[in-house]
Amino acid sequence: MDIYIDSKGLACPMPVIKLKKALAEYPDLESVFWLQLTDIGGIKDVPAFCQQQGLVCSLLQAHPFIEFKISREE
Amino acid sequence: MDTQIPLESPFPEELSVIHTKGTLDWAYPVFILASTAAAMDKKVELFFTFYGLNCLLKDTRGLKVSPLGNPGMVMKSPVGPDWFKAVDWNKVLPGLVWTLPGASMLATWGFKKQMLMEGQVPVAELRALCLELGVSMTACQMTIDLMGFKSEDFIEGISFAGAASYFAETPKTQSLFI
Repeated sequence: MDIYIDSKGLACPMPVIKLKKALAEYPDLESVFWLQLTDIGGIKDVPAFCQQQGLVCSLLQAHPFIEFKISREE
Repeated sequence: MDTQIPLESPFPEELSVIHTKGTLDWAYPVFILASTAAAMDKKVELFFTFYGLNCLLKDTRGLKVSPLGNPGMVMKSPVGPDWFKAVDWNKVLPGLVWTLPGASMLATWGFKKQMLMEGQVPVAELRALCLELGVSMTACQMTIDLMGFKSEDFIEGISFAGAASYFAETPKTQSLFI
């Protein structure tokens, strides 16, 4: 299932908090999270969060907004 | 005989912060750090003492910011033409200006507006998020009595205790003093 999280315009720590809430809401392994943000710090923070949480994270684009695809499995 | 050395986790599993500042600019870092750490599954214990107690009051209107005696503060107008917004008034105006009536109210208004424009949420909302994420908050009973607060002045979901309880709760944590 695809979950879209729009945190564009929100500053640190909101993108990570929104991602965390979505992860808690959709605990199944198949869920794929598409996180959109404009907070520049997120380019490093989101992968760091994902690594620590054991998630797979890939940066899809950085302009005009940052987008990550995040999943629990490869 | 083999001795097993336990591998240290690269991430500390607990974070504690002793928060002593009662201004709006200092309230943000503690709640930002706490909510992020809690989102990363750390057990977070916040201990509020002295002026830091202001951060736990139901009414957050008392949290203000002032450039007076605060030379590090960047004081820019959130409104007006671009050249006007670029001026750091804390650098160009003499400190005496910030003693005038209404100066801290103006600075607080500008700070709040700037934070909202940058996509930051109001501090009460960030605090509520922390509680929702399981951050444990303790108000120092000794300073509550000292400063004449009442327990009903504080938000729900926090506990009241002293320094010994704080240290008992946070035996091996990454601790910060703000």
